[in-house]
Amino acid sequence: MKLARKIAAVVLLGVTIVVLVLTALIFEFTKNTVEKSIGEQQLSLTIQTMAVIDRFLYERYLDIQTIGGSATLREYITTSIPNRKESLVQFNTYQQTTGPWDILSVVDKSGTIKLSTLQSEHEKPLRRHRDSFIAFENALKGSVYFSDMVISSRTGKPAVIFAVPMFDENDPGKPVIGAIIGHISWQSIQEILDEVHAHAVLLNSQGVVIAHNTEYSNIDFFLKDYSDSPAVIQLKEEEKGTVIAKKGSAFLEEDTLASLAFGQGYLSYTGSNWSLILEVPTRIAFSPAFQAATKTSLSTLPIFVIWLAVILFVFNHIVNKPVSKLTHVAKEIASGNFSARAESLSEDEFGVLAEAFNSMTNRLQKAYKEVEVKAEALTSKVEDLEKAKKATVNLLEDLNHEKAKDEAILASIGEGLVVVDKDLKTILINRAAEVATGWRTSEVLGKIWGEIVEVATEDGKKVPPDETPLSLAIRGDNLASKPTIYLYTRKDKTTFPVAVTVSPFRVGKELIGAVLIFRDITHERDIDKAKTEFVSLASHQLRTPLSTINWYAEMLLAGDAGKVNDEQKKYLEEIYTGNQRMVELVNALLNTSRLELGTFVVEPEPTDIVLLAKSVSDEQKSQIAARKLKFVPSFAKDIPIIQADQKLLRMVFQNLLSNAIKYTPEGGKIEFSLSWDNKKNILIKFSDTGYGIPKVQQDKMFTKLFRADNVKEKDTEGTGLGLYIVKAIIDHSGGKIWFESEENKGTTFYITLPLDGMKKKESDKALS
Amino acid sequence: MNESTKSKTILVVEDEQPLLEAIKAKLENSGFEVATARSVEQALNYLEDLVRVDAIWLDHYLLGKENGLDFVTKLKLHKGAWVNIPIFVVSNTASPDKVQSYIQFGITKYYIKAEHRLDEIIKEIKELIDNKE
Repeated sequence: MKLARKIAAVVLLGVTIVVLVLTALIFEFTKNTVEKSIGEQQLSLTIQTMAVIDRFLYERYLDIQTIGGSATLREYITTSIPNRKESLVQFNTYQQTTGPWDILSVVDKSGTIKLSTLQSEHEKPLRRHRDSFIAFENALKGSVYFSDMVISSRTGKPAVIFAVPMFDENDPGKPVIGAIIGHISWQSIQEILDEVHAHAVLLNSQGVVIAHNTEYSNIDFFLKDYSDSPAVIQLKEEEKGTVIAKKGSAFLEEDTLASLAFGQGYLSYTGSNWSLILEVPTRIAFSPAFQAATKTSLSTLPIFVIWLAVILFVFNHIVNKPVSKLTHVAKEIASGNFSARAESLSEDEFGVLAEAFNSMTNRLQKAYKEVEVKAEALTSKVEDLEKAKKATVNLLEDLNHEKAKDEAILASIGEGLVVVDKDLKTILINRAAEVATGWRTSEVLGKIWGEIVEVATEDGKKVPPDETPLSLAIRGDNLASKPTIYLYTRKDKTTFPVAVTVSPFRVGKELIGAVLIFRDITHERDIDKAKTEFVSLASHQLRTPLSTINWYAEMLLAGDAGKVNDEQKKYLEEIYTGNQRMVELVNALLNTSRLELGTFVVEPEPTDIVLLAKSVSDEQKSQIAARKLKFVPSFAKDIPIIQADQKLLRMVFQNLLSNAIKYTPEGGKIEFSLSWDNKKNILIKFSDTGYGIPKVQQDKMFTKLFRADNVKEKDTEGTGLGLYIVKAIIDHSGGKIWFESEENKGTTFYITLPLDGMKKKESDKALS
Repeated sequence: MNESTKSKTILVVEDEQPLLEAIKAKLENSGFEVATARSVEQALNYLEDLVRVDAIWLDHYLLGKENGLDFVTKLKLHKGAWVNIPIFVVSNTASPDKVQSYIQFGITKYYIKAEHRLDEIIKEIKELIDNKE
């Protein structure tokens, strides 16, 4: 419990210092007080002792007065016959009961010692003894006299001389008749001084030592002049009369407590202005003080100890306990026991701290719980994630296999493959696409395909971004099911034609992106062009000489080169006719080759099929008439407009009608009917009463250049290509063609055409 | 046959020599003045030289690099009288876009040689020119 120790140490230190200080103060105070008291006591003693001396002398003053008032002694002096014996007795009595007197004398007015304690002095003059005589003379004045201390010449000893006049009581004038002279035994004074437990020095008014005791000192101070003594001076000046005299400054050779008292006299004894100095060495005088102080201060020590204990206890209670409790709780919490709480008992900062601590702990507990919960949740999530991860890893492995496979497949595809996401950003292109466009995968990934590779229509017009095949696919607009031709621009800015198919793809219902496949059709184009050119050239090259023959024959026949005779005309007509056949054949061949090469165009437009049929019929009217055939058209009224390429359909009608005419002998009947089944198809029928088609040859009817034997015999013209061409056209229109025929009875050709008719086909060559 | 006092002049542009002669003969028989050219360059020279050309008989394939379409282009872009000369394209080429191109340039009519008699074509030309007046 470091805090307690700290506090204890501090408190101890503080208290100790305070205690020391206080003890010192108490000590000092007590010492001073006691010293003061001692001083006062000593002074009091000094005064008292002085008073004793004064009282003593006063009593001697009284004594002498009493003796002076003795009638016996008065009588003794005055009478001539003194009763010596009585007086002596009285005198002795006085001498014994009063005093102590060194000498007591009765002296008459002449100065003769009448009675004395010294026998030898009887009848002797007093004059010899100076001091006594002065006393005597003073007394004769009429009042009591006392002297200062004198060394008596009579005794050789110090004394105070008292003298009292004796009065003649009988005489009304009360004249002085004598005096009593008494020498106080200095012994008494000495005895008084000796009683005192201090060094006592009696000084007269001049500061001369007149008596002293030998307490604390053996020096003889008698009659020494101490008027200059600084201590004496100081003492005389001091009001209180007590002083600490440094050693040697008073009488003793050490520090003393000195006190002085002035002699006050007593009552009518006025004294001689003596002073009494009492001196005690301080070490002795004040030792009680020291002792007292020590005792007092020591006695307070337990108090301080108790006080310390109290303080420590209080501190402990106020500070240490709460702190240690709080610390304990903190330790508990730190070690994970969140149920520990601090007691909040006091209203001071410890209480606040405890409450704050508790609320912190509450929060901590809560937070911990939450963390635990979250941790659990996290753990379970992590477990789930681990599982998912494992599954994913497995999946990835599988996918990698698939991926490798797919990549191999993709790389091997000859056509360009572009996959974009729903924002038209490129996800993937295959090797063929890279090669074809000159862009590498890394250059196009994440970018919009249409912005990298410019798209234009076949004739070079730039396709706007929202109409590119991919945009259309993403938008879900009508897509051509067959490839559409565009022009792509390579990285090097050259263009090449492509056939593009595009398709969106979904996952579930969600549109993910689109896939575009393009084929570089440059080669095809070139081939097509070559084919077309070939056919074109071929047709041109073939037709030109035919035209020449045609027109020259025409001109000849017209007589432009001169008149022709009938035979010439006939031959020329053969030439002309043969040439016409040739022209037809060339046309048919060219159409066939176009059909074969796929280089023909189909341009459907809304067609009134009935009108077309009528027109074709009209064209052939002359032929029909020439062969005297009956023509029965039957065109239904409700046939809707269909999408058809008029030229091609015309060709079909022309072909079949002319066949019917050609292969029906004179006088026969031809029927041409159009109807529709009210649902989907138009039915076309050509029927004749002609030569028919031999059964064995019927399966070859639609093949190229085939002519049945029966009509070959009949010598009719025909290219053998017509039905082939017709079938190709009908097939392309989504319709059907078939026939029924019996030789020499007739033939009926049936055609069904779906209402949505012909589909547009692009090429640059029409069948003609 | 001729309604107007002056006979019309036709410029025939055809590369095939025998045909050219046949056409020329027939046209002259029909009362036309005929100028012949076998290439675009030649034809243009004639146009510059001749005071007046009332019609042009034009084949597509010609001698030299340029073809009938080039010729028509040049005529139609010419600022002057050439723009309005009626042009009859008589060719064995039947490709639709060629025909389309000619028609878009504003030729009067397109004939496929092998499908028409010579006198038929000439008759129509005559009628169309006369009608123009």
